[in-house]
Amino acid sequence: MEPVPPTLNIAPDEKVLLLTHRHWSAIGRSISRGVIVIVIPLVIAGLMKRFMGWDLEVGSLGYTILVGAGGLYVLFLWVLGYGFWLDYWLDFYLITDRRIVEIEQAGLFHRTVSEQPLFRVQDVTSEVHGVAASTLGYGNVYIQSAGEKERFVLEEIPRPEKVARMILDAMPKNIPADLPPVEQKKPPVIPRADL
Amino acid sequence: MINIPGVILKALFFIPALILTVVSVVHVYHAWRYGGHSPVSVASSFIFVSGLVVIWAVVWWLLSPVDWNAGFVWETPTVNTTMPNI
Repeated sequence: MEPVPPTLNIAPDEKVLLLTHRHWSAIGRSISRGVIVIVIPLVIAGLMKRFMGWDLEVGSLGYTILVGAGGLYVLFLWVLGYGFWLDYWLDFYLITDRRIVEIEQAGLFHRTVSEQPLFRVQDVTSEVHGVAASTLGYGNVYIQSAGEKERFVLEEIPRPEKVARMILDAMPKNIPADLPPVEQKKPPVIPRADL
Repeated sequence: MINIPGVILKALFFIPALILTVVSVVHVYHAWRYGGHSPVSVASSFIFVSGLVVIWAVVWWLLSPVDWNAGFVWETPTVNTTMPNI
């Protein structure tokens, strides 16, 4: 398992059960699109040179524009691709014997960290939906809790059924004895009209 | 015929490239700050920075024969107005 980032403040006696990112197919789709976007202009330029006799004199205006614009295009795609990679790699889910932590890097300057104590978890559901998900073995885990964020979703994680089992197995040990009772709200009494 | 000074064309290419490079530095900073020093984070940052260097080097090499001081001439298309002898 990869090392836990120090920003998560894991206690010395806290046991890390799982640190996982989304399944590799999430970044695979972005990479395949990026490769297509890079290859298509090169193919078009090659075809124009081969069949239209398109050629440029080194140092001419056309050559300078082509190299400059092409370099900017490749540079932009390279930076964009790394942004996609960071969006994938900096999103991860951490499960310890005390809490579940969901970290989502939504953009370059937008990062959300959600924590949920295990004793507040009420229901855990795993879902594998689709041909690709079934074949590659990834899916979602839905965690219903009594906290402010009622539903945690661990999206596109590998082996969701095992992760759900892991959370369920870790749950009973974490119910504190001094947990305050849940207030039972009585439904409002609607007076019946005398007919 | 339009004369385009080389410095303008140079600025048009290099200013966006510098902006993208600054954005890249911010990306790498985020990777190190939030990704920790895991081997995958370190390797991905190294590959990314290497790719940046390669792209800059290739473009610099391809543009090295260009004489920016001489400027560029853009020949606007002209229409032949002389009537042919029929």
